[in-house]
Amino acid sequence: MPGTIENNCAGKRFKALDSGLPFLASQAAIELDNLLLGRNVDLKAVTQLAERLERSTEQVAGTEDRKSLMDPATISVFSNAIAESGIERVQTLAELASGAWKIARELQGSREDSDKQRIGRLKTFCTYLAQSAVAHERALYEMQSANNNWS
Amino acid sequence: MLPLTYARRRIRAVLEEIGRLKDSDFPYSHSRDALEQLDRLFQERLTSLESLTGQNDPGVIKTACSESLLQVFKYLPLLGFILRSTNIRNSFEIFGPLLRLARQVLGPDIKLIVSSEWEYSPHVYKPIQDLPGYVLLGLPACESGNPLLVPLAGHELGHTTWQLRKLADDFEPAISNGIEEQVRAQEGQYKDLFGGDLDDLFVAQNLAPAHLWALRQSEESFCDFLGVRIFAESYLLAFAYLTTPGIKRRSELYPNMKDRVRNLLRASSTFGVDPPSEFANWFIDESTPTSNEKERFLLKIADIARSSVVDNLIARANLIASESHVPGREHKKIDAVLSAFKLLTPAASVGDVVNILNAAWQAFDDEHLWKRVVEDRIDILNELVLKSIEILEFEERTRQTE
Repeated sequence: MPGTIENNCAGKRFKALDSGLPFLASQAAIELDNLLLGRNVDLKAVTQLAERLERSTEQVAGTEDRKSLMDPATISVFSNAIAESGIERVQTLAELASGAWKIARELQGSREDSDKQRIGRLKTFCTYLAQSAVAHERALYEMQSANNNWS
Repeated sequence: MLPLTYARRRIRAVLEEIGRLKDSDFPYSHSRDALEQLDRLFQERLTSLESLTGQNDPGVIKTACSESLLQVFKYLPLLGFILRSTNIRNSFEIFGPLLRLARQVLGPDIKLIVSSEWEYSPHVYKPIQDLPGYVLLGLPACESGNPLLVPLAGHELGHTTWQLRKLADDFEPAISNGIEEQVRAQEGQYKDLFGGDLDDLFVAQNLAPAHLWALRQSEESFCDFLGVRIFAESYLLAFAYLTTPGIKRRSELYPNMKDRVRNLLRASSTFGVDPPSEFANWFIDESTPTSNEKERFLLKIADIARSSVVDNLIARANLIASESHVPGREHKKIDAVLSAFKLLTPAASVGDVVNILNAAWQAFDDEHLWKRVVEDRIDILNELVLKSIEILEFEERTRQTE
C-alpha cells in the first residue's frame, strides 16, 4: 500500500529521500500527542520511526560513540528538525549521530515513560521532523518540475 | 479548527475524484489498480485527519494538514496521467510488448501504464516511490501515437529499475566519496565560498545539493545506458528526434548535454551499438544554469563525482539486461522486417519489439523508400510499425495458449 506506515518501514534506514517520511513523522507526532492526552494508542509509527533512526547510525568499534550513516540530504532534514525542536544540542556529525541514537531510544521507551515533558519534547521533534521532510519533498518535486529536460 | 476542516474536505474531494476516475474505460487493468492504491493512500490520510480533535496540539494538527496537502500536490498530476491513459491518442498496441519487456527486467509483478503528457517530455513520475512496481510511460501528447519513440521506454524502465533494485544505495558511497575528494582537493575555494571547517556538521548540509544532483545525474545516465543496451540504435535516434539540438540552458539534475551524448557514445561502444557518424555534432552545448558562485562550485563537483561512476553505471546496465535475457538487436531480423516494409506489408514472426523498432528507424531514414509510390511516407511507416507490433502481440498470445 503506497505511502502507508507498513510500506515505509520494513528494514529501512532513515532517509530523507524516502517519500514516506513526512507521513511517518506526522503520525508519530499524533501518536505521542494522543499518548499525552491519555488516549489509547498503538504507537506503531513511533516504533517504526525509532527503528529507522536506530539503523541510521552505527557504533564506532571499541567505543560507545555512534557514527552517522545518513546521506547529506537526510542530515539536512534531520538536523533542521533537531535545531528547530531544540531537543538536542548538535554541532558536529558525531553529535548528530549520538542525538539520533538517543532520540531513537527515547521513542522506543515512550509507552512506559512517565516523564510527560520528555514525551512532549519527542512530540515536538516528530512535528518538526515531519515539517522538515515535507519542505524537502516539496522542494524536490518543484526542482523536478522546473527541470523537465527529458527524463 | 478551519485548516483541519479544509484539509479533510480537500482529501474527500480527491477521493471523490478517484471514485469518478475508476468508472473510466481502461484498456487494461493496471490503471485501475494504481487508482485503488492511491485510493488507499488518501483514505489513510482522511482517517488520520478525522482522528484529530480540538484537544490535539495545534502544531501537530497543522503538520498533519500540511502533509496531506503535499500528497494532493504530488498526486493530482498523476491522476491526470492515469485518466489520459484511456485516451485513444495512445498507441495501445505497444502495451503488451513493453509490459513483457518490463517484466523480463523487473519480474512478473510489474505493472505498466502508458499515457500522454502535455509537457514536451517523456515522463516518469517521481512519486513512483509511492507506487512501487509500476512503470509509468508518458509520451508528449503530439507524439503519443508515434511508435518510433517507443525506444524511449527503455529510459523510463531504467527509472523503475533504479528504484526497485535500490541502485542509489549501491552508487551513493562512491558519489559521496567523490564529492568529499573534490571538496578536499579544492578546500581553499570551499572555505572562501562557505566558510567553516571541512569537518563540521554544516559541510554535509552545504554539500547536500551537490550530492543530490550527482545522484540524480547518475540515475539519468543509468537510464540512458539501459535504453541503449535494450533498444540499440533506435534508442539513440529516438533520443535525438526528441531533443536535438537542445535548448541552451542546462538542468542540474541531468549531465550537461554534451556530457550526456559523450556518455551515450561510450555506452554504445561498449554494447556494440553503431551511432550515426555525426551524432555528437547534432547537439549544442548548454550553459550553466546559475551565476551563483556557490551553486556553480557545487555543480562542478557534482559533475565530477557523477563522471567517476559512469563506467560502473554502463556495466550495471549491461549486467541487468544480460541477466534478464532481454533480446538483442539482430541485423538479420531487422533486414527481414525491412523486406516486409518495402512491400508495404507489416512484418510477422519477428519475435520481439526491439528489432521492429530498429528496422522502423532505418526505414524512416531511407528517403528513397516507397519513392513515387506513396504520398505520406511517414504516416504509412507508422501504420506498418504499429501493425507489426500488433502481429507480434497476437503471435505471443497464441504461443502462450499453445
